[in-house]
Amino acid sequence: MARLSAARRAAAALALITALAPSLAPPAGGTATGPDDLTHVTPPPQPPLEVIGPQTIGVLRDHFNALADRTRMLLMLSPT
Amino acid sequence: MCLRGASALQQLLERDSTRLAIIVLWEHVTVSDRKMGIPTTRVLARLSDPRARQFWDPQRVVSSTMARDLPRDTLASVAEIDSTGVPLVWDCLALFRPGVRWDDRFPVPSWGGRPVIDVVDALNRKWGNPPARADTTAGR
Repeated sequence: MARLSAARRAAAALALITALAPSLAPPAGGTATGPDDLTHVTPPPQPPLEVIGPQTIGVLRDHFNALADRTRMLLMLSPT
Repeated sequence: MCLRGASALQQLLERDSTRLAIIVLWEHVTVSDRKMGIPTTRVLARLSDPRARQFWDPQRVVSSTMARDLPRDTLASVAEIDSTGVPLVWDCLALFRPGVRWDDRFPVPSWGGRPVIDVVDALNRKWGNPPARADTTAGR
């Protein structure tokens, strides 16, 4: 019974590795994939990444206006 | 190209200590971008300046807003025309003077351009690389 259970666990682990393999493969750029390629964390002490859409563009506008006492630099970039 | 520009800008920012607010807006433009999805930790680390706040705009709503609101000559300095004839604002940097607000229309930047890698060189010359500058300098 214990042996069967171990075999099942091994099979499950193999299935998981097979399922994850595509996402762990090197990206088009050719560099190795690591944890930093699977998460979306901003460098500290920056606040978390915020998603902007048609309903939430006001968040960006409010942030822009809240900092109107200083020069603001806007960068618009693609991530590759 | 964008990431090279981001890294070059980060190096420039490390020599600047003004009260500058940096707004980083990531958007999907290329096929590779769409494959990536949400910008990864590795990408976000390209701009590590503590004065920065980073946003992801998968539907490019800010680009569309700028294309709608900015004067044609200003838009031409920060946008390219995509294959369908629509202006696409990306790989660009724009500066807004203190006091400028975004109300009914997107504000006109005091200075800007694209691609970022080239603008960083121009900004380097514009700022002259001092260790610190007053942020009330004309054009900043």
